[in-house]
Amino acid sequence: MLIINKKILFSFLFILTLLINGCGYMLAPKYDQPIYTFKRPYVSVRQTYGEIHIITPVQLVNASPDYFDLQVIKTSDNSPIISGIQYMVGEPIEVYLPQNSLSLEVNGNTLILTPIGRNYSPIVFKFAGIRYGEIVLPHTVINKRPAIVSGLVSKRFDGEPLAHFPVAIIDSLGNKFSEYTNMYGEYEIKMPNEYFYYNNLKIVSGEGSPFHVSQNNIDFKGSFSTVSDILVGPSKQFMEEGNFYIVQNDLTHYRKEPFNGSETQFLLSMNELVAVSRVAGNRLLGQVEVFYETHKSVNITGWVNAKDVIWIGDINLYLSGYGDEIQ
Amino acid sequence: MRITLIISIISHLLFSQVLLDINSIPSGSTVRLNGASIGETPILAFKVTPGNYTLHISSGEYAPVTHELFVQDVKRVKIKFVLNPLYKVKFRSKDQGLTFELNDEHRWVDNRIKLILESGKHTLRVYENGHLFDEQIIQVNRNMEFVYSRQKPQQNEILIEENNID
Repeated sequence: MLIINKKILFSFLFILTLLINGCGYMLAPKYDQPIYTFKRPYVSVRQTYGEIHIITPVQLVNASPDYFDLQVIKTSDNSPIISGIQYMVGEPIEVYLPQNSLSLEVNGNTLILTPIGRNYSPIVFKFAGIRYGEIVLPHTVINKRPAIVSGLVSKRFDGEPLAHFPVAIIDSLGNKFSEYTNMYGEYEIKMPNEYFYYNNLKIVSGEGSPFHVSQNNIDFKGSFSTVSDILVGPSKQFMEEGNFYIVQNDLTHYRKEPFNGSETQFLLSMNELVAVSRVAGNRLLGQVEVFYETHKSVNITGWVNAKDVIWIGDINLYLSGYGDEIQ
Repeated sequence: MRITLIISIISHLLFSQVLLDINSIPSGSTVRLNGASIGETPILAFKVTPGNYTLHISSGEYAPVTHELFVQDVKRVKIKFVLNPLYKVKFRSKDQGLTFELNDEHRWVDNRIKLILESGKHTLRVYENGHLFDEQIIQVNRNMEFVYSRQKPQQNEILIEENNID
């Protein structure tokens, strides 16, 4: 009994100790409000500006300006917002402006797009601005009268038109406008208006065909349309020579004598015809036909190396249909 | 002229909208904009017009924040708050008859008291018989207990103990 009383006493004292030490705040008052430090908390503020993206779709039809000049002004006082922006032809014409740089009024802004070149007028757009975002201006077509070269391609020896025959016009920078003749041997090549003013255009026919490639100058003679008929292949007189060989490679030497080291008269181009009259080992004596005007030619005698030519016989593609032979 | 002006004003109100993003740590804090509740963080793309605003952010066990915000005519404003937490602090004095003061304004005379303190530094002043005889900075960064005592009164040194109660 005494032992139990001691245990109870110890328990009571233990609990009392706990209450005094650990739970001493049970009866403590609580301050009536939170106490702040008035320290500024971490606050980050980021203000993001937008941008205005103006897109000006332009389609060129038979036009090829040197470049475009763009400026945007405020309509009210013609003060420039941005100016002197240049775009190459083919480059998308778009400009980025800072937010709020445009007037929000109806027609408050004017965009002037000036194609730089002959006979162009500035293109003017008036539009209302936005604070930021994308503005797509109306699609504009710059259409100029094309410079046209047309004509008929036919075989020189019989006048037969050549269908699906390649014709191209090349300027001095190597820009090329290619076309094929129709089933009647006719072609028409439309070029940008500016080409009318160029004086270094060449018309090239026969590229990729079995015919010798020929080149002629183009002269518009004051008109936007010009006709350039093309005769290809050998003349009727030359065809009568027979026993033709065709040159396989460009820059083939056409020599005065059969032996190595003899003088080269000129270089033959691929697909040129040589009417061979004599074979001496691996050297062939023949004639080539050289045209100095459309219908005027001379035959020049010379030697070619046999490995540079291939025999095509008397009956050849010049007598038959061109389209059949190239298959 | 008047119509143009009206259109201009209406278009300004309609189109001069700025997107306001509000985020906070902790998330879920209540946001009041010029006194009106606009929801809980995170708030995305809330539309406002440029101008001055008063933002009030509050969350249960964190110190509320009032922030003056000037919204410029921009595309978007992103604002982020990191709220200071509130901690439960027990304060006990080993000495009798003292008056305690926190941050110049909160006073008590009890030897034991429970406080809610914002994290950070607080200025504690101790007065005896109306005279200031001690001033200390206490740093609160968790739930904790402070025990105040004069360890060596003859040299006027005051000791404050920190006990972790978490």
